[in-house]
Amino acid sequence: MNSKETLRTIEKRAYNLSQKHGQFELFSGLVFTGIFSSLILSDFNIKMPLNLLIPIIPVYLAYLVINNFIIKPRMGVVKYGPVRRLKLKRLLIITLIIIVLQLAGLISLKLGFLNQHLNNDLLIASLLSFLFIFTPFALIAYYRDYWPAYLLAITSSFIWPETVLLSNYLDSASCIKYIFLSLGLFFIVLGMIRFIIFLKENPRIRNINQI
Amino acid sequence: MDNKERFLDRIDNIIHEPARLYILLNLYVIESTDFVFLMKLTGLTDGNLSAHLKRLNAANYIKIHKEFKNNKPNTSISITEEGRKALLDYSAFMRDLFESIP
Repeated sequence: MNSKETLRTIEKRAYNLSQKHGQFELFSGLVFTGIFSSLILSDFNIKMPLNLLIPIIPVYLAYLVINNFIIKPRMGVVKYGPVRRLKLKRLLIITLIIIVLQLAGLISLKLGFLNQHLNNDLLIASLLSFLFIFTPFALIAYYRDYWPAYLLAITSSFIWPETVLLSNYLDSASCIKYIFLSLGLFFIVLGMIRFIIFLKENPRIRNINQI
Repeated sequence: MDNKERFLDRIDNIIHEPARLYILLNLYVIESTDFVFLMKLTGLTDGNLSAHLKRLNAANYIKIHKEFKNNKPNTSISITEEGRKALLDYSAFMRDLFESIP
């Protein structure tokens, strides 16, 4: 192992230490259940983007509160170095490109360009969900050296077969809803476990003798 | 004896201590950190970390910035250019030294 690899290991360790609190899984899980509730809200004729904002805003506020009042006092704050910042910047650019491509795909669907060739709504919906979830999370996992995102990406790759299987019993709209709900619950449970372990390992520090 | 003294003089005693070396290596790869995170990262107690940081600060290898955030003291710690150079010099010296071992 050369010294650069050792430094990289040290940097990775520092980065992973700052991500041990399970917030990422909790936040992802809450976003998925948020999408589920937005789909339920749309059944009650509450239209986009309000049906997406109603569940997402409280989730984001909860994230800020937990971060500032529970995690930071226990874990402290770190600013990453240039190597990590470059990695995160690349991740942001690639994710933005993917979002633009997906939006273009959605607009094509809406305008009926793709429907002429692919008439199966269920397949299109599940493939889009797969792309929308798998690709960004696989990239997050790679660029952030963050293994739970691989788990999220792999789990999400089951959306397509799950949807096909469930479609024998439910209509396509319900399939998508329940898949988002099950993904959300899975990550909320995972996040809760990591968060509880984090709280146990990192009690609130009082009377610290700082330099 | 004279040669030995000269050799020992070439070793940077501030960096040579394992805990301080580990602190500097961590600060080398991140931009800055607060006291609590550095404590978690290094596994040192607050008193121990504080003592090592004082020595590193006295050698001008690290910069300690103190401020109050929401009426609470907050210490931000980062490596200085001098600290980076000292770490690289130490690394080069040790590499040269151990390269001669078959």
